[in-house]
This record gives sequence, structure tokens and C-alpha cells, in this order.
Amino acid sequence: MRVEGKGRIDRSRPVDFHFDGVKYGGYAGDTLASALLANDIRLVGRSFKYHRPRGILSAGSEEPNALMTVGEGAAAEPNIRAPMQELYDGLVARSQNAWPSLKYDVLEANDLLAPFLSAGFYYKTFMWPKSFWEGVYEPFIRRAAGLGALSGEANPSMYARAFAECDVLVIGGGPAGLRAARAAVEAGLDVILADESWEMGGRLLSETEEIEGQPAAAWAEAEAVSLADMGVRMMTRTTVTGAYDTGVFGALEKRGHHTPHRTDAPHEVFWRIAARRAVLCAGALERPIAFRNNDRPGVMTAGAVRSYVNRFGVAPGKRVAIFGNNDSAHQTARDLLGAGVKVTAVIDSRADAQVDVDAPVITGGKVVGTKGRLGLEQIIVDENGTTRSLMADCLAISGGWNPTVHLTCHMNGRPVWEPSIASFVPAEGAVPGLSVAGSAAGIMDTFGCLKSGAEAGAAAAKDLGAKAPKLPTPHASAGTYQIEPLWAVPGKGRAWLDFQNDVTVKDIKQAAQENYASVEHMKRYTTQGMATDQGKNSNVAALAILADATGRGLPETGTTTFRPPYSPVAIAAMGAGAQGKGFAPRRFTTSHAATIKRGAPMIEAGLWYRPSYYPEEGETHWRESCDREVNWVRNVVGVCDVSTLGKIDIQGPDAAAFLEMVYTGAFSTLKEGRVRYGLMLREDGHVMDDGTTARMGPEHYVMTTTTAAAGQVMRHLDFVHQCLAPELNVSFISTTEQWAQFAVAGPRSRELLNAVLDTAIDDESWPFMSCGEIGVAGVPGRLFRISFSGEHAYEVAVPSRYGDSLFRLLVAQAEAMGGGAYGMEALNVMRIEKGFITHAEIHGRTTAFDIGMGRMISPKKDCIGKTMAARPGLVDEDREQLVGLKPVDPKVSLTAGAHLYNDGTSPVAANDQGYVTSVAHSPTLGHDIALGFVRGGRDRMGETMRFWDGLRDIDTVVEICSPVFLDPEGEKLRG
Amino acid sequence: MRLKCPICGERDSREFTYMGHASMLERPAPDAGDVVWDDYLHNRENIAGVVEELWQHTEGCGAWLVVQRDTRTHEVLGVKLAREVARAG
Amino acid sequence: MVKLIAKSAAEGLLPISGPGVEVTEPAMEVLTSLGDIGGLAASLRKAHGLALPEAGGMTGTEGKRCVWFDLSHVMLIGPEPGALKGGAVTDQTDAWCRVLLTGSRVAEMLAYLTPLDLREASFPIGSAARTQVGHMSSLILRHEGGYELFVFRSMAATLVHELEEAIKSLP
Repeated sequence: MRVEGKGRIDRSRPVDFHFDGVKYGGYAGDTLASALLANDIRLVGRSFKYHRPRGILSAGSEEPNALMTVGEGAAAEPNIRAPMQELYDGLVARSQNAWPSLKYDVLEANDLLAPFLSAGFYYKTFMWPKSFWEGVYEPFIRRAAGLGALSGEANPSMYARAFAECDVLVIGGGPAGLRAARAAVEAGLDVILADESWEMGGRLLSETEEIEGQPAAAWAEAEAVSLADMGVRMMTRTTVTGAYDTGVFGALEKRGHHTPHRTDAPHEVFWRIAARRAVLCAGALERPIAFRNNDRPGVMTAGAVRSYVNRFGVAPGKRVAIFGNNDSAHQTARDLLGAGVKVTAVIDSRADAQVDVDAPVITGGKVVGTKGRLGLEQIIVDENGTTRSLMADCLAISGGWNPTVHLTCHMNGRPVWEPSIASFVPAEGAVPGLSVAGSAAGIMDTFGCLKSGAEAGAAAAKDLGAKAPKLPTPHASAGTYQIEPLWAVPGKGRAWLDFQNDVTVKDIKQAAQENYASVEHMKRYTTQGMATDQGKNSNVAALAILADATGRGLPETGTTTFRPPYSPVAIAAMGAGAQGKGFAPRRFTTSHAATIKRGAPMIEAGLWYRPSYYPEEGETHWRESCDREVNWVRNVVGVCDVSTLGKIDIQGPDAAAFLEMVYTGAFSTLKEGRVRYGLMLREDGHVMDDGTTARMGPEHYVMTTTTAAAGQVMRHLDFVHQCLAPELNVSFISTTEQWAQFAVAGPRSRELLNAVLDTAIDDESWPFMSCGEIGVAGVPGRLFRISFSGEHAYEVAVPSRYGDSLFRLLVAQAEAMGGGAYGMEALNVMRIEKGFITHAEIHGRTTAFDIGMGRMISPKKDCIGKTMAARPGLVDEDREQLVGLKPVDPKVSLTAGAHLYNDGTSPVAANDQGYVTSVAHSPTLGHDIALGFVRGGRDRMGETMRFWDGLRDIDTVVEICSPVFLDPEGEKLRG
Repeated sequence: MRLKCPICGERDSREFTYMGHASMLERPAPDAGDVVWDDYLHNRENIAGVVEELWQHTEGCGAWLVVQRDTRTHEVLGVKLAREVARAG
Repeated sequence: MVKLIAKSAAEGLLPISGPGVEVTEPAMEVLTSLGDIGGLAASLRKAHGLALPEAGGMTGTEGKRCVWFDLSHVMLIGPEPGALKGGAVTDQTDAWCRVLLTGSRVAEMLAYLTPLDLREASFPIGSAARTQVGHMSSLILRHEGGYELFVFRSMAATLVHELEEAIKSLP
């Protein structure tokens, strides 16, 4: 029900919205919660476990009950807290966890089963039979207990992540936060002020008090304008969700929650804020009091009632009763009366309370129960042992205020019990660089909050060496906050603590009784505080009840641990910047466009995209394309982009010494203009990578790495130089991206190259394993006579800007000669035919000895990995050694990943003799071939083995052979 | 978390990569024997207290760093260039 | 004789723009990484009249600049390096995709891409930093003409995509 003349809503801007399919009206400036209350809707959800009818409890992000699904279709978002959802025209909201409707929810029957569903029921009830778990219990629990559901479609919303830095981060824009920000900005510092609401002010927006003689809300508004003018970065709709090491804070900014859904701007932005100092001014949260049926819609916190009346111009009831144990509750009655709402009674549990309110007052009384179907109609009050019913459709409760200590716990801080406010306050220095001010520090009056905020802001400034101003504290209400703890009203029936997880006082007592007496055990046994609100409304009361039940005091009982995030953050926001194309950079070679144009399917090699094969008209299977490409290279000529291999330029007087430290072989003896194969070990003696290194000048080498290990090798070289051999005068840098490099392979490769090179080459000037600079179609390039296919082959490189052009030229030339471009499939077939290794073989557990390169470790010098490679276990003759494998029946297909067993033995681990790493169909040989590792394999040539692939159900016989299937003498290479 | 790179200044942790214990700087002589090599490669103290770690500023200047960090609080007590530490021997 | 055609790294991808942000690809200049293997400072001064930049800084002006690059390298931008005694000279002209960012909201937009502190006091004109842009390694320069971003040439398309997203993120 609207209250005329009250609130900060804009009555000139009416807004329509839908709730559960029905259209309602509200105003700009409303939240979904205030607009529902204005339309007299009290029943907004069903509870998690018992499906009890629930209403709006709070006016903030601590709301446990009023969780809605907002939006439609794929963009629908579940579990939105109605008090945080700003109203906009066309907003569509649905209630959750009820079927077929909120009013007639079938699973309300769960409430009748309550005696069987008490604390720990999961553990007790669903123990047996075991077979029921997946089929019966889990689906039932999932269906019955739940929050909102996701749409099941891809999330169309955009999320962003962003970074911010400041001198002082002020968390919370209430009275303390506004003053802390002013103190810091007046000291000349960079200040960020963040608040979860769309306007600064905090509780000041919800109270009728005055500051400096003007309404507190107006003062806050003017203060916010002034701070923004002074350069404070005002981050509204931004919840600081976590405190992390060295002054880093996570914060969630809701960009698109208050407007119709958009896909072209972020829905949410997840900020990482680096602050030299922070001031936590997060305020305090009001806690309810537990009594029988205290969860009926219409029961809400007293502060929430004031928010709805004062900030939103909504009376949450026609006849409101108030029940509290502290002075702050009394103002609720005055505000309601001022708004023309009838106050049935003000009930203060303290016998000696002074209540100055123009309404019926009951001191020393307690509410012991409620009545009403789907909403509050009556309350039952106990006054000195006699009970009576009072008519009330809304009950405002205040069990006191809990400082919002959450962020101070994120780095292991333990809050401290403060008896004067009957709650926990943050421990000093809980988060380095963060101080706490205002009611978050337990200060419960406005004057005190303003003053402590300014002091904390000034202290932060001083800490940073800035000259902090001494701000006079504005005139504001000061006073004492008197409270007498009342956690739960004694009596029969279920009294609710954790509304979101349906935990009652009885559950806590039962946990204690069953010896779950530690607070962390109690939490897990009862699920108290484990809902998405992390027990913001209920934890302190639950701890008090546990303390009482175990006969300990509250300080000894302690608290459970609050962890980030302070309020829920969507996974999509956490993963912002990593969706779709943002997941990882995509590296395209210079031949990418031409390759795509030829219809080549691309495969990912690390971040690179490389062609699998280049299909031709009429080909229906990749093998047809692959076989054709292999035949081209074996018989004519082929062209392949090999730019993705890592290239490292190494220069300096100690370049050779450096290479000899990282490679097993010698490089000082390599002649200029020549290339040598190198094997790189890890320090533990296993192979890290391999590649060729070319000597371009007296003190100039170019190393190549495999595509996969380029980054790892670069890091390794950095490690060796910086950490192990800083005395070496050598300089190296990656040139992978500088050069577009193409393999030109096949018997007619030289003929092709001579059509594009500025100087013709022959076997004498460019023998096998030679290298040098050469003009390529008028451009200074490089030529390497190396081969990964076993054919007479070269790699030709030009600066990348010419890569696209050179690729097209080389392929056109090759095609004119009856060859063409080849992809990774053909490349792989040819290297397997030649027994050349890749990371399928040097997978991290193989040694130089295993791959048959033990003799490449030079005896004349030390190198990384040499000592450990000589360990007896790494050179044992019985180790699995690289071999070739061919099927005894040439029609049989082989698979990589299969394991090998001696003939006649069963395929079990104990009999394992080795495994298969690479497989290809050799069009040259007409059957499948494989590389693999077999125990003592080098001495077992000609033996047959059982080849077993349990995953793909292949069981056949292979023969062990040399890993070099073609041209073992390398005549083609040199030809 | 942020780390103060001696070259680049204070930077976000995502620019850095943890690379193991700083004892990796003390590479044994080839003939130091199995026990020493085994210790160097495999054995680490896992203490609650101040440790010396190797990090690399992988997304920054590329420097390998020796970071002194308290595992109990995550407080970073100092960051040095590994190159300087290695030179000092 | 056939002639090879040069293509810039971001050819066909730029320019793009948004409110307060213009992204263009500057004309290609010679980029040379220089490592010091004994007396680079002297030979650089002699050959080009440029001082070696401090870490995170740059020397020279448009058309002839030396910028800090990493722990062991600086980058000469503009002139052909020639022989530099005591310098490890490596051509990197084609290794980088280079974009120029101008407009009043560039720093604000970059906050969606990089963890680098871009506030005036931390990153004034004349600054150079290696950092992440999106998930890419990058070099960021700030000079009189605006901000410059360098990422690996192969990542040009990803960079432009990331910039488009960041521009959309500006409120």
C-alpha cells in the first residue's frame, strides 16, 4: 500500500512490471520488493526444504526469502534478490521453488514431514538402500530442494572484467563511508567509493533523522554530488565481494540489472581493485528474533519496514506490530504513525524499556507465535505469562544489529564478541591496510558513524603520507544503543533462524545434543548459514543458541568463517573476458586467409590454428586428401606453413657456450652456414624438446623449437641464463612472429625454389643441413635445407608481411608442377614414416636413451639434464624403447594409445610391455604404421606382440620393426 | 595479490608465474653425487613461515625473481632479481 | 620476376572506433630489438644519438625512438639500426601487431583489457610497459601521439576483437 507524500520514488514516472504473469504498477525508484509490497503482495516465495510460504524479510542484499527469476528466455536470471532489483518498465519476474503456483504448492506436503526432515536428515534418511541414491533420492532432493533454475540455454549476456587502482577504497556509501571518502579526497588522494545501491547514503536514505538541519537523505545526496565533484570515483551498484592479499579487492558492478536486457553492453562488470588502503564502512544488518512461526509472510525486520515507508513510500501493512529488544525498534513506530499507518502495539522484551511512542506499548512482553494462512493475520503475545492475540498483518522485528564484518574475515580474521552491542565486531588488523568505521565497527548512532568515518579516512590518508584535514562532524543524532540480548523466545513449535535453508532453533539444539558442538560441525550438520546469504540474518543468533545449548559463552563458541563473495556472484561474471573468442588468443599464421579460402579444416596446435589438409573437389574423406598430399611430397613437391615452430635468435660471444649448456650436443663446432639437430633435456634427465639450430654468423645462432614447447623452451632459456649462468654474455629473443616460414619438400623442391629465389641454388652451394640468407622474390629472406618429411626439402623464410604473398606464390608454383599445399595430417604421416619424434614421443617421461639418442649426450661437456640422465634407472636396458610397429595383417587399422603385450598373455597391467604413441596410414607402404615404446624394444626387432586397445576394442598382432620405415639411409634427403 | 617487480614496479599477480623454490638457483656440480642431486631436484622444505620462492614476471619484463614470502600470512617480505642473487652466488 | 606483396599485421581489421576511442594501425616502421652484449649504450648514442631508456621509459621522439622492452632488451623504432658494436641486433619489424589508440577515453577503455595502472601519475607520457592485454602478452607505450599497443602479429584478430569488446564495455 502506497503512503502519499513519502519516499524517494518518482511518482511522475509510473512503471509497469509482471510478477508470476500478472501485470502490476510501480514507480521509478522502486525496487521489485517495494513495488510488490505496494501492490499488497506478501507471499513471494516458498522455502528451500519445507516449501513454507515466505514473504519479504529485508530491504537489502541480505534478503533470504524473496528470490526471483528475472527476465525471459535465455536471458532469465534466477535467484535475484527482490530488494536489490531496481524496477524498470517491462520487468518480468517469477517466483521460484513452487509448483504449480505459489499459493498451491504441492510440495508444501514436505512441511508435514518436518519431524523426519530435521537436522542431519540427509545423512540419516538417505543412507540405504545404496541403489536408491541415484535413481530415487537424488532426483527427489534436487526437485524438492532448490533455488531458481537456469534457462538451460547459452547465456546471451555480455560480462566484462576490469581493473581499477586507487589510494583509498571506501566500501559502503553510508554516513561513515561518505565521510571517510571526504577525508581522503581532501587529503589529495585518489579515492574510490563503492556502494551496492544505485545511490549513496546507506541507511540515511531510509531514516527520518536530520543531519545539519536537513533530512539525512538530502544531506547524503548533496554530499555524494560534492564528492564526485572533488574527483572521488563513485561506483554505485557495485558490491565489494572479497578482500584479497596485498590490498586487492573484488567488486561486482551490476550494469544491466536496472534496464531491459541488452547484449551489446555488459550485464555485469567484475572489478579487481588495487587499493593502497581501504576503509570498510559496510554498516550493520538487523537480525530477527526466533519464535514459533516467525517466518510467516508479513514478518520483517524493523529496519526494512522503515526503509519501505521512508525510502519507497510503501506501508508493508495496514496494522503493524513491532517487537524488539533494543531502542532502534521504537523509531519504526514513530515513522509508521507519521505515515498514517496504524500501529497495533510496540512490544519490547525489556521490562524496563522506556518507550516514547503514541501507540499501545507492552514492555517485558514477547511475541510467542503467529497466525494466518499464507500471510500474517494475528500475533500471539505473552505478557507476564498470559497470552493474547493481536490483529496485525505486519510484524516489524528487531533483535539488534550485527556489524557487517564479512570482508574482515576473508583473510582469516576472527571477529571479536562485543557485549555492549551483543554482537561481533571486526578484529583489529584482520586485513592488512583495511580499517573499519561506522556501524561495521559497532558504532550504532549517526553522529558516531559520521565521526568515525572521517577519522578512518584521515588515518588512511596519514598512513599514506598525505596531510589529512580535520573534518568537523556534522550535527546529527547521537545517542546510546541499548540492547538486551533475546535470540529465541522459549516455547514449543518451530522457531526459524536461517530462513533460506529452513533451520530452526530446535535443529541447532539437536546438533548440540548429538555432539556437533563445534560451530563448524553444527553449521555443516544443520546447514545453518550455508545458503547463498551465508547466514547474514541468522548466524549470530544460531551461535548464541549453540553457546547456550553447550553451556559455553559466545566468545568461546566463536564464529564460522565468512568467505568471499560477500553476496553471490554469477560464474559468468567471474569468467568475464574468457567467454567465446575471449577464452584464449587465437594465433593465425600469415597463410591463414589463403588456407581458409581453400576450405582447409583447421586444428588447434596450442594457440595456433593450422590446416589439417586441403580438400580437393570430389574427395569425400580426409584420408583421400591426406594420401594425395603425401604422394605429392614423396613424388613431386609440397608446401607447408611451418611458421608456428618457435624461433629464437641467439647472439653474443658466449652464444655457443650457452647452447652447449642447454643442448646435449656440441654447437661451438658447428660451422657458419650449417644447421645441427639439438636435443634439450630437463634437469631431471628427461627430454624437454628438440629442434634444429642454425649458425648464421660467428656469434649468431637461430634455434628452432617445436610449436608446442616454444613458450616452455623460452622460459627454460631465461631460467638457465638468469638463474644458473648469468656470467654468460649472450642475448636472445623470440623471432617466431618475425618470419613466415614454409617447408618446400619433395624431389622437385629445388626446382620450385629456383623459380622464386633471387639466386639459383644447387646441391653444392646448399647441401643437406646448410643455411643462409638469400633473396626471395626480391625480399631478404633465409633458407634452411632441413627436412621433416625425409624428402629433399627446404624451409624458406621471409619477413611476415610477405608471408601471405609467398605462400600463394609457392603453392601456385607447386600446383603448376603437379604438387600443392599439404597440411598437418600429411606432415604427420611422413614424419612417422621416417620415425621422427614429436611430443607424442617426447611426452615428458622419455629419455634420450629411450628414443635411441643416448649417444647425442656429449661426453665432453656438462649440460642441463646430463647428470640425472645417467641415473641407472634411466638407462636400464629393460626400459621402454622407441620402436616401429606394423600390423601382421596389413588390412588391420592401428590406434594410438593402445598397449602392447607379449603374444599369448592377457591384456592386464602386470603384463604390459609398452604402448603406442603415433599411428598413421602410410600410402607409400599401403598399410598402417605406428611408433611406440616397448620394453627392451631395440633388441626385439621382428618379434610379434599382442596389440590391445581396450577403449576401441581392437585386439590384433603387430611386428616390432625399426622406427624408420622409409629410406633408412637418408638418400632422398641428400639427393 | 600483487608483487613488486624490481624492474616494473607493483603489478597484478596474473602477470607472474610461480616457478618453484629458490633453491633451484643452487645447481650442484655434475659430480656432486646422487643424494645432492636428488635433494636439488626433488626435496623441498614445506614450512609454515618465511620461504624463498622463484617467480617469473612472465607477462612483464620476463625477469626471474626470488620472492620472500610468509606462507602463514602471504605477506611478501622482499623481491629480488634472481640474476643478482645468482651473481652474488 | 614475381614481386611479393607486403601486408600489415592488422590489414583489413582497422580502423575501429567508439565514444572517445579511435583505433588505427600506424604506418609500418622498422622495429629492432637490441640486447646489450657489451657497450650498447655508447654505440646507440654514436649511431643514432639516442640514450638507452630507463626501465619503463623511452628516449627520442616520433620517427626515432628507443623504448624499454624487457629485462634484457630495448626496441629501436624508426631508423634502420645499422651495425651496433656491443649490441645484439634483431629485426622485429614484422613480429608485432601495432595499434594506435587516441581519444579522451582510451585509458578508461584499457581498464577493461589490462591490469596495468594507467593513472596519470603511474603511466605518464613517455612510459613503456610490458603487461597483459586480455590474455595476450603486450607492450604498451604512451607518447605524445597517444597510446600504442603491441601484441604478437599472429594475434591481430584477437586484439581487434578484444578492443571491440572493451569499447562496448564503456558505460
